[in-house]
Amino acid sequence: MSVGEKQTVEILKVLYRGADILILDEPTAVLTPQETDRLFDILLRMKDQGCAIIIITHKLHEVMEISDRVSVLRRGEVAGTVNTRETSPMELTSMMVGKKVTLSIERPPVKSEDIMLEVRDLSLIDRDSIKKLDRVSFSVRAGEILGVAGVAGSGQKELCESIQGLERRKRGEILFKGENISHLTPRAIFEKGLRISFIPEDRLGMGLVPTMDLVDNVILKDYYLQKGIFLDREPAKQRAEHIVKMLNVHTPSIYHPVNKLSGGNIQKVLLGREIDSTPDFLVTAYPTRGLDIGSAHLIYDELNRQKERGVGILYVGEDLNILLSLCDRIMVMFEGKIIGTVDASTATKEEIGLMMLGEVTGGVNSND
Amino acid sequence: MDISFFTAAVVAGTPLLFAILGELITEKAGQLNLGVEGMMLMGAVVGFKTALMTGNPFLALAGAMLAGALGAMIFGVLTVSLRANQVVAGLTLTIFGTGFSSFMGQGLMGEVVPESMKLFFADFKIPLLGDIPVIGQIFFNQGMLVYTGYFAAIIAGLYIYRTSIGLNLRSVGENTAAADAAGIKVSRYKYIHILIGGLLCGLAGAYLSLVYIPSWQENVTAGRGWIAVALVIFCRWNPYRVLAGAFLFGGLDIIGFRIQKYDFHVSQYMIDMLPYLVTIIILILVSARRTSAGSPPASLGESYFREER
Amino acid sequence: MIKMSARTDCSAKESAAIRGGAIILALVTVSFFIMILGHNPFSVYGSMIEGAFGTVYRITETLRKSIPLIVASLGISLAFRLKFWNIGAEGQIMMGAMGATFCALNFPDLTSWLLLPMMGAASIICGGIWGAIPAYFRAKWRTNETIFTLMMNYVALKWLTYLQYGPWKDPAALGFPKIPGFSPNAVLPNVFGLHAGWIIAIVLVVIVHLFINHTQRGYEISVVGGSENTGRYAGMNVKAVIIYTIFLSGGLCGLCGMIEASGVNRTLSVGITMGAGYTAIITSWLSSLKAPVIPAVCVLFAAMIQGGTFIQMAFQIPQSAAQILQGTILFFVLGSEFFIRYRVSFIKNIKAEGEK
Repeated sequence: MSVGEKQTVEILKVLYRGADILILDEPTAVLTPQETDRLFDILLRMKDQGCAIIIITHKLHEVMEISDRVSVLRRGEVAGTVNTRETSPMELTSMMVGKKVTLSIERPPVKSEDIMLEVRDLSLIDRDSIKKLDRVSFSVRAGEILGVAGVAGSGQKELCESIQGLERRKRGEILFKGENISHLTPRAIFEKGLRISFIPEDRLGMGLVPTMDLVDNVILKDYYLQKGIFLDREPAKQRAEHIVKMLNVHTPSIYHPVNKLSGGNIQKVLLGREIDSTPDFLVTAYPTRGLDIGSAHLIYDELNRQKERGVGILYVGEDLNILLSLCDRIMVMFEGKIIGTVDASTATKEEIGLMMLGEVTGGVNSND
Repeated sequence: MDISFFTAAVVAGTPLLFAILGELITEKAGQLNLGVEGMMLMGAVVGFKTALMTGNPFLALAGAMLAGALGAMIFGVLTVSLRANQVVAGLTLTIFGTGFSSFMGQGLMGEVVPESMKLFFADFKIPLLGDIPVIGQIFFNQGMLVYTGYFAAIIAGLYIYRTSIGLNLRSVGENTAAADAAGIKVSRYKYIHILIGGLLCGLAGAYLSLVYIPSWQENVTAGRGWIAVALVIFCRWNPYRVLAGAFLFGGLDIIGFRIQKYDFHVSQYMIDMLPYLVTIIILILVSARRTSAGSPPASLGESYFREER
Repeated sequence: MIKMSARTDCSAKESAAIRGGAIILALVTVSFFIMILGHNPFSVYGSMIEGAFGTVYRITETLRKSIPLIVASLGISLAFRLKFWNIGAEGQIMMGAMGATFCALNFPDLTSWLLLPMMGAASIICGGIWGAIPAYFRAKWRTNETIFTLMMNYVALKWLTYLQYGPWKDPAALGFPKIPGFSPNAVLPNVFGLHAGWIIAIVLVVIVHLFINHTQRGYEISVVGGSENTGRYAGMNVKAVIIYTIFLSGGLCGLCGMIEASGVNRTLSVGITMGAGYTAIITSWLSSLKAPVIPAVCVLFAAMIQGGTFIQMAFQIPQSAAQILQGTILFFVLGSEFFIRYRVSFIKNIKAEGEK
């Protein structure tokens, strides 16, 4: 069963039990635009039959599309309740953040033609002998953001971890600045002077040590380069302070365990550490998941700053609106295959949505 | 090997059977209780003492089961209500239970179960079934508690797989948050099944001290509680498989004693290692086989706190 | 209705107070138990303290009993830091003691300066390997280490029994199954009235503390214990970290076996551990796996054991009462952690909230 179908089963189950009130928590995170439309149809019909529906979502356009009234929560309090018809995304955003913000995402042009990362025929079969990646090929230029779209579990995680050197069972070539790194460990890549930074989707499960403080988390990737057997935390202390200042991390001190910080601040620590190592290439998976809109935009701005520095970026995202406005090109994955790659400035959500379901609509590079 | 070996294997497997079932039911609710050894010891000593004092087999068994449930209750309060680390809480229960049994057992050393009670637990033949050649001799010429064991396994299987309460129980162990969202009273389910687990472990202990030995020995369990925890994995959380797992290990348990007459040139103490070594080998083999079939309940060992999802 | 919420603001002082309160509650609970037995809890506790600290001899005895607990707790704390539930300390102590005994029996005439370090090294290797076997399978296939290490205890016990009743049986003991005593060269010297194990224990506390907090290897242990995936992400060889950490953990427990065999028993027997491997699980957890705290907790537990033997004589209360007391204390401290992590507040009952 696809995730979308599971979602439908879940809703049917609720209907079967005769629910009067339906509460949905981020129901569209795993759906394609078309499936979302279908879900919203069902919801509207239920509404007509007298059902009360509460939908929790971080996508503003969904709120505007489906709701009658909106309550905005901020730090556990209701910041306000308004009628959808009388409000605008702009107003909702300022309610969420508590001050006026601009919502635009810039897209500076790609200046370089140099290919930073090239992946050729990458395949991966997991231990249950399921094909997670199937002959994936693409390339990313320096100073380009390549978006990756697809329903959750289409191979995005495996792709990111393969590039980083974490997946050992893969086949195919990964050329980084012309050098094949497909059989190197993360540390071997690092020691070649190739800086690939990786912001994984599960920040506390991979990327950070939840119970450790900022200093110990900042030192994670290069502690072993120190001479001798002892560990000197002095340089890491300065870097932690620098990250806190640079990204405006809210923390009582740099000796605070990261799992006691809020989601946005945890992400800032991770992003700060990865950027602080002046990477050549940045792999990010859902970097703004669970973040308030203000922090999210701070992260988009930071990604654009890295882009202008000439860093190549692979951006795995779920919100097609963001992908379309932030990325230069968008690559769509389905069941471990690349269905196609589109130009973000001309593509439409519907087009990408069809590709997310595995329907080839053109674009470059498709496999059987 | 003659048939009497297999008959004895069933007897030796019965305490394991109760203990495995108890731990299995507890684990189905998502709680990993490593205190099986402790609960068995508590059951063993309370059962034995009650037997000496009252001479009533029912009171003795009830006492043993309540003692096991008492230990389980401590574990439940700590891990369900207070969300303590389940591994450490279970270990502590074992240490506590060991102390409890040697404390209560002080002065019981060498005491023997009253004759009247031995008679109560004695073997009897089940009509018809007991007349089947070989199988009848092995399985249906046994004591009352062995038959109870068969029933317990079958009832547990029906309960877990064929009732709606069993379905709810499995969903608590597989995905606690989803079960909670579906309106299942998660804490109540966990408590009840931890307690059922304790009752069964207490019974397992009582079987050792009242029927299997049947006199008082310090540390009667000799690691059987831990083997039971391992066998839950071996039986892949399936109550019907428990019958096979328990009797197989019952056989291993007595093989050392039986083998002596065949004049093997292997030390008794080396053969005594067998059950433990085989348990280790099974653990390794089960973990090396990488299929998702027969995997543990997905939320096993995790504390559940609604606000922390 | 009771409302619970996570808290992050619990100060060190406050959490120490909560733990202290839990220990007192445990003592109160056990005192009810003592009253049921028909004794006055104050006089029982009083004589326990007297039995543990009343005379210089008793203090020495208490300290002597705390040494194996300290060394084994240090070992276990390394494993627990990795979230590797090593409950095989008991077996690792036995195997360590066996390694030391092997050297002591085969080279009785070697000078102490060579023989004792050799025994120490042998015990670390034997205990370490006994720990590394389950660690290897855990690293390779995620084999359940809790049960594995525990089964290894029983295997070690049967192995020692085999040695004691078989190949290592003292021919001079007229058929009595005991292993020969050590030569004086194989016995730890006395320093200030107590065998030199206490110096080893103190040195190890300092080393383990430095190792965990100030070395790269120690840092790796904390990272992998916090999140194995993050360890992989950072490029660590997670499997190697698991195996060598547990080798060290088992090695320390093995050294504990050597200290007991050489310093106290001067021979090897199946009862060498005196249950230290299990008690050390409690003490290292109660110390929050912090090396500097371990000696204090271990002396407290040794006092309970020593006091336990005393009340057996004075009140005919079985010695295992001490074990019950230890278990109860850990129960209460485990439960109290909840109040360190969560805030509990009472709010007025709303009828609809009640159970059906």
